[in-house]
Amino acid sequence: MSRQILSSELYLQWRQPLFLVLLLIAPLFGYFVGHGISASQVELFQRFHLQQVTGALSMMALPWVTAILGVAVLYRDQSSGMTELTQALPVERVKLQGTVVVGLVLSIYALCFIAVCGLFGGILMQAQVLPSLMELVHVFLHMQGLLLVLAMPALVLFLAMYWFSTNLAAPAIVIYLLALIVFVAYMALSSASGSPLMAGAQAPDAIFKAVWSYLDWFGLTALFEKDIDWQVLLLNRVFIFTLAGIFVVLALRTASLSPSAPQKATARGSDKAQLKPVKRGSSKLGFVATTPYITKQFMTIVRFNCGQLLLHPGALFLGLLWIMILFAEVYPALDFAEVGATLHGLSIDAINRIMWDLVPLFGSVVMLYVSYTLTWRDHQYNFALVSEALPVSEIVRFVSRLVILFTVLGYFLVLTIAAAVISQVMQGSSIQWFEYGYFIVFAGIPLALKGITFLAILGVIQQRVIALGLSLLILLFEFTPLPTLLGLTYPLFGLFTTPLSSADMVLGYAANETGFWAFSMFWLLVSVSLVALVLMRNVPPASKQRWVSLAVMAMLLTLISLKGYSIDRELEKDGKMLASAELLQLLADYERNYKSFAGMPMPSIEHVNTKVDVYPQQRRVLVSGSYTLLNLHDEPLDTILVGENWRSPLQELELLAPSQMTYDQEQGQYVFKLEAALAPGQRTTLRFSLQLQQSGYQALPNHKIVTSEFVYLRAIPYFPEIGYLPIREIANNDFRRDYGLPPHIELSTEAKLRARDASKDRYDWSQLTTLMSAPQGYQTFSQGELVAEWQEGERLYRKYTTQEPVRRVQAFIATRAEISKQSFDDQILQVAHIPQHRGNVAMTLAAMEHTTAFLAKPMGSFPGKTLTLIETPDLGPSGYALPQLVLIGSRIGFRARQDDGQPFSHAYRRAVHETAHQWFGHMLGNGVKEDNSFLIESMAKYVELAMLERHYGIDAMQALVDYERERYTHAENLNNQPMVSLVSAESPHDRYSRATLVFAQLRAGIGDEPILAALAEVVKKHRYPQPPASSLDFVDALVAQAPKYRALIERLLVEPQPLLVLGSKM
Amino acid sequence: MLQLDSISKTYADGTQALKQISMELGTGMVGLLGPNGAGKSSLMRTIATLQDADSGLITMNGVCVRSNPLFLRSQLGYLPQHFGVYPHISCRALLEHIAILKGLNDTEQRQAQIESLLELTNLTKVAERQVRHFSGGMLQRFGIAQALLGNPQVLILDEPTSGLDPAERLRLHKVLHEVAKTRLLLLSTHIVEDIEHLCANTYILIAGEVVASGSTDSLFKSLDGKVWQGAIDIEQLPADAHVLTENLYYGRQVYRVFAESQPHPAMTPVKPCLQDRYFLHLNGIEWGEC
Repeated sequence: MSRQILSSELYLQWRQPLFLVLLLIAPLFGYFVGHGISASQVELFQRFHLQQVTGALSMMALPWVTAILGVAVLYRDQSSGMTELTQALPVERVKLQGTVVVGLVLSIYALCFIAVCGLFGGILMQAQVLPSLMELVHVFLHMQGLLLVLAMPALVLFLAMYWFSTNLAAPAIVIYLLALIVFVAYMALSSASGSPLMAGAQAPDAIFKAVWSYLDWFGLTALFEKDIDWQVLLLNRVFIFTLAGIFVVLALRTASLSPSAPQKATARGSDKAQLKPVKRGSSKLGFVATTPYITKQFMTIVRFNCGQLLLHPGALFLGLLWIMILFAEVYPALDFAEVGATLHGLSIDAINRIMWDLVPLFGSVVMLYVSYTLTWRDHQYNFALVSEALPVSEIVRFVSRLVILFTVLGYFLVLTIAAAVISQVMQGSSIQWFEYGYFIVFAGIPLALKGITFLAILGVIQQRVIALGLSLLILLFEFTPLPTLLGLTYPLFGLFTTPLSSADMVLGYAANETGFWAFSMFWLLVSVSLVALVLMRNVPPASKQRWVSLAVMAMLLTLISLKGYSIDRELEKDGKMLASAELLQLLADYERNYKSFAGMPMPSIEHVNTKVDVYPQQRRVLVSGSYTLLNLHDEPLDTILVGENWRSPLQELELLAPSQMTYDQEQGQYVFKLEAALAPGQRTTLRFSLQLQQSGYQALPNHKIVTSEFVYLRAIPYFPEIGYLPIREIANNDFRRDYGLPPHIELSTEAKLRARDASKDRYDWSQLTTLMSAPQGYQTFSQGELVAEWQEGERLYRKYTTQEPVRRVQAFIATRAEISKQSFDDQILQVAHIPQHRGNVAMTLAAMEHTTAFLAKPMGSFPGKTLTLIETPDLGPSGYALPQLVLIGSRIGFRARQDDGQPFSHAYRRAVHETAHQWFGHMLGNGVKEDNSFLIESMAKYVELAMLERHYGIDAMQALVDYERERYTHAENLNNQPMVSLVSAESPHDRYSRATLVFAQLRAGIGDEPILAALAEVVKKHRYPQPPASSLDFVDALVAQAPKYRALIERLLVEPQPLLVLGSKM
Repeated sequence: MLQLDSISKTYADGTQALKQISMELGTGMVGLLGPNGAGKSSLMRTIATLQDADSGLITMNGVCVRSNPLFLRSQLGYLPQHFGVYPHISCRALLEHIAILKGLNDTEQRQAQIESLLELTNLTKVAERQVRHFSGGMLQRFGIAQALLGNPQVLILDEPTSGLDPAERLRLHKVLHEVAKTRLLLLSTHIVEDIEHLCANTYILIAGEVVASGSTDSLFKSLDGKVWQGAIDIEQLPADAHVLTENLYYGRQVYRVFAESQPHPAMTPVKPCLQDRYFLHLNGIEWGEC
């Protein structure tokens, strides 16, 4: 009997169109995930990657599939009016419900099974060489095994929760909300626990991670350990099954409560009303003349529906829940800067916590739910035939729905603001109400436009499933990597999104505000067109109104096209857009066509003379300049290859020496054939000009920020480059094979350094002269010393000159900053910061001075006379050093304060690190192209240790070591690459965290003296214009200084051995 | 008042619900009679402008209703066969809402009419209860009340007495009779007696076509002397006699038969009724008048 009921139930579930649709989608979705999460050929079939793809699939799809099918099946009796019929069947309710849920488990598991087949296919498509059949079978079974271990307990848990919720007579929306909470919570907890599923996950708190590894409903935390603790995994799975069992018991106990059980008769009940005798003559009816007024109809629909939607106890509960979720998100993080540092959280910080993920996601779901409810509620309650027969026009109906939608949106935004403000008040933070005004505009408009669109789509498409599917597709495009997986990277494919990104204290919203308005206008036109379609629906064909409607529609489509065209034109200001495949093809062609220039001698750039006019309000920078080219080779040069940036071509390029020029526009390469070869020691001039603009219509690229509040432009990659650029070669060997290029031979850095032809090592250093102009009110900065300053009209001109050649990584900065400066020896150290952010300035200047004093002694002063540290927008890395210029993010560099009890300040540490790059990076560590970044990043970490110990004490230094050890241990646990030496290391956790641990051990073993002496020796032999130093030169010098520690030095620096000491003290 | 000219409607699944329906509807109560699936509800929904016809013309007082649906809706009271209601709203509040949408703008007048309708439909005592919790009969009475709100010139009632107890049904008949004196009331019901007693004119629809129409009396009076009744063995009937209905009368099988002359000695002539005429068409009996 039970088996028959179950088969019948399965037959019923599998006959549903929804199941059939999911059956089609499942393998496709699996395929996209399998194909979209890339891995190297080596890792492709390894445990880590298989866990990653199966885990990603489960995390993304399972809550939703379970919710969608759960609602369709668990609520089917109610929605189809079958409740009483099924209740009257001679099967126990518990048994009947149990069968339905078991059927659901089997159905969803079948979908998962098929999705994993798609996943397997996606991985196979990435493979260039397929393993043997047996291995393939093994991988497939491994993946299905993972599915069973990961998904099954979670699936049972989700369904048990939904089942219990259904039996508590909760509406279907509660199940979707549960799914949303499960989905978002998992992403948040995974990110907080440092899961490799979440890009950018940070090193977690150890206790939190340990607890989460038991609670993780997919069991991934335990599985992602390098050495899996099977006991933890087993306990985790048992715990999840037990939790599911509790929900099952609760669901069974509530199974007797029918969601639509007949109402008990009450004192006010129907019987009395029906039985009461009716007085004769009481049925006299006086008809009343009617005059439908649009405004009255409109007001009553709005009032009635707002009451139904917002004053409903469920809505009030959800509102409260929303406030609690936001509070939990904002309150603990409002004053958090980084580990050991806090800041005075402002309204913008509170808003940033929620505006870019929670508000768009939940807001969009609310908009879709309300639009759906408003459009289909009459049908849902079978009231449509009554309501549609009322004399209310389509326009009044639609406009009133819009107003209701906006009212709900307003309610949603007010609740959101309330939660943020409560968090601020409880943190004692000052509230900037204008920031909340911006929030309403910038968060509200995209939601409103999406809401209008949902309403229009649901109104114009009569098939509910199709309309809902289209609306959901919009959400999928926004909140999943689907567009990227489909290769749709053009900004307008992000349906109903705008380029606006998080605001900070330097830029505010200036980076993308213009783009926000342009995209909003585009999507407004699209949504208005859809609204027009809705309103046209009932216009009689061949009537005058129809022609008017068609004309309006044509006008709207024209406006959409024009706006789209205008956006496209604006995007061009940022440079030509290249899809990743196009870029790879371009790179491959570059290597094929220009590799022959790699061995060809090229002139060096002796002097760069640049004029840079900055127009922040117009978001434009005009550059004109010239290179003095000098032949440093022993032979004459007759060919010069000059390259320009692909995305932003030069406006002009002219070589003064008589020559024949050929231009490859696609590759942006100019080949000059000199009529008279450039003799050794002879010079010529290359002139160029370019215009760089920024549309504000997409995310800001690295090294180009042109906004009204802050301008930063690095010459590389926009200025012309001389010769063949190996950096343009495709590095990944998988891609190289795909594009028909021979693979790079993978050698360790040590091997590459030893095999290189050292005579080709060359510093790219030049003398720089820069004339910068900017409107008054802006401070400008560039390499060199300020030698002249004057004003012309409304513009300020400043001339900078380097007194000697410096590393040629030019940058040009304009900001509305105030400058604090001090002198040290004959050098100027200065900090440019927002006037309100003076708190860390003294400490930052101290860090610069300490570092300069520490390194100047063994290594000499850094190249140049002035070093400027500039407060920058919170974009990109937290700190970045250029010759004579250091950029540090506003939030952690200038607003953050060291916590009480924290032995050292990260602001100090970071300023030391970036200052140290004037020696490690811009004095040493450049010029040997085969070298890695040991001489740059790892040596800067050494300076951090030394500075903290000298100026804050040994405990501060030890605290840094502990901090880096925690980060290293976490990252190393997720690292599946073979161990390499520190000199060869490329991953950040090696370069930074491991370097700290290594130098802590080295200092403990040999002290600072030999290290500083080795540095002095290296500088003596390799400082410009002598041949550049490599990492191994430093290692050799260190061994020479401390020969009896050779074994320790080599083990720590040049041998691929793990760290031996990871204890708390070194 | 309301004129239908060659109205046809075919649904997406190919079902031809209405075939060239033409009607002239004036003041008074008009009955729509037909088996399940005959197209009655389709016709009512089309007249109520809830769905558009594929072809044909519907005019009300000379105004084309298909291109100007609000003209009819502003004078319409409509009770669908099946309907539900919103949750969390009382009977009075929902009537109030519908009344405003219908254009009852004067608060006092509106409330007075609602009170009167509540009393008329015997819902006064439960006016503050949520309509969702109403029994089937109460919900039906609520439906009638909402249809009568305002001053509808056209009332379309699909199975209005369904679910009502006999007393309520009779009371509703009185109300409908009163209402139909000054307006058009289109009544669809399976209870043929209701139409016979209430409607001056009747249309019989079968398979989307009007197979008979006219004054209700004339529809069955033309059968005078041709309807016979008796408890006989059906095998003994002659070939030109057609069974219209068979009923059980105290356990005996009693037949009503259509025949030009007495079909069996045990059968006696009876006064024809609308049901006879209905079954005549339903059973596909060829008859001279048709």
